[in-house]
Amino acid sequence: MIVLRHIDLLAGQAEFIHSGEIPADWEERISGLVEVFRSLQLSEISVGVLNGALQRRFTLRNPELVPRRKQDSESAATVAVQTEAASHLLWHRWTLLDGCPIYDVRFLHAMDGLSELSRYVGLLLATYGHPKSHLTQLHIAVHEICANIIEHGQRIADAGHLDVHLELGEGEIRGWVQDTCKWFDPTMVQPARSTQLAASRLRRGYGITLIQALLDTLHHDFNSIGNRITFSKGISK
Amino acid sequence: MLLTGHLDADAAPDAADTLRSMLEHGCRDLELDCTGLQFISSTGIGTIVAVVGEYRDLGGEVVLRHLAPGIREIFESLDLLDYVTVL
Repeated sequence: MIVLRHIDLLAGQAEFIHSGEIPADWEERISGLVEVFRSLQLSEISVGVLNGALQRRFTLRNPELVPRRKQDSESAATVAVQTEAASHLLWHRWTLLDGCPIYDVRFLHAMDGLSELSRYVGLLLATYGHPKSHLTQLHIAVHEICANIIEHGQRIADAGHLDVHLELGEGEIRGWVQDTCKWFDPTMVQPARSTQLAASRLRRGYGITLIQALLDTLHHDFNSIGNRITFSKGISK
Repeated sequence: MLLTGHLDADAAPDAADTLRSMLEHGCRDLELDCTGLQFISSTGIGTIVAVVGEYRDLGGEVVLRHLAPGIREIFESLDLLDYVTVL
């Protein structure tokens, strides 16, 4: 297993840790992460195995990319990135498990950050490389889940945030969206019939129907943090 | 007319304004080339539905062409292919 331990934008360095012997195909295994680096306009300058640890070095190409250290309870090594184009992104973490990237990102709970969140999620999903039509639909479903819980979420604290987790499983992509809000279960909302909405010229109301139509499983939990919507969608090459 | 990129809550109001402006200036039959449309949210779908209705009210028609398979299936999932003309 290869895990991205931390990414340090100040030093321009990412450190991967691994258990056991470093696999010969490790470059291929981290290719998904490299795509994300590229999309963040990070330019690689060297790759190698240094001091027994996989390391990938890169330089910052985008002058607007301003690293901002932000400690979080789960990983002190996580470095948050704040850019003008990504002002709502608090932190992100990528982990490789058997060559498949697992993504965790945290965004501010704010409607004006939804578009940014959605585009970032789309970027991450694209690295899974499965048929674009499936990924587009999953992207839209995750967008609608986030839109719903941002719109309806009444935050428990001012510093509310939204966590999105994505992972590639056997024949499916799984994930969850977690908020820090009071109880709200979008899966309990009875979707309106789209044809009736259209006939009534209604511009709103399609979101819940989309979520339910596009996902294979959808589950709501209310935990000590807030609401968690867990979902999965089957994919095939 | 080309519809490209992301049609979400950020982009939908401008898109709706443009399509309505064309209607006000006499356009009745509108063909939207969606080759470059990468993403559409529920707000974007609602906007398309509303604009289709407004064109029909004035005897016109809006046709969506070249939708990506994943996005076409979304209109299908919502049973909107009977309402929105997708070619």
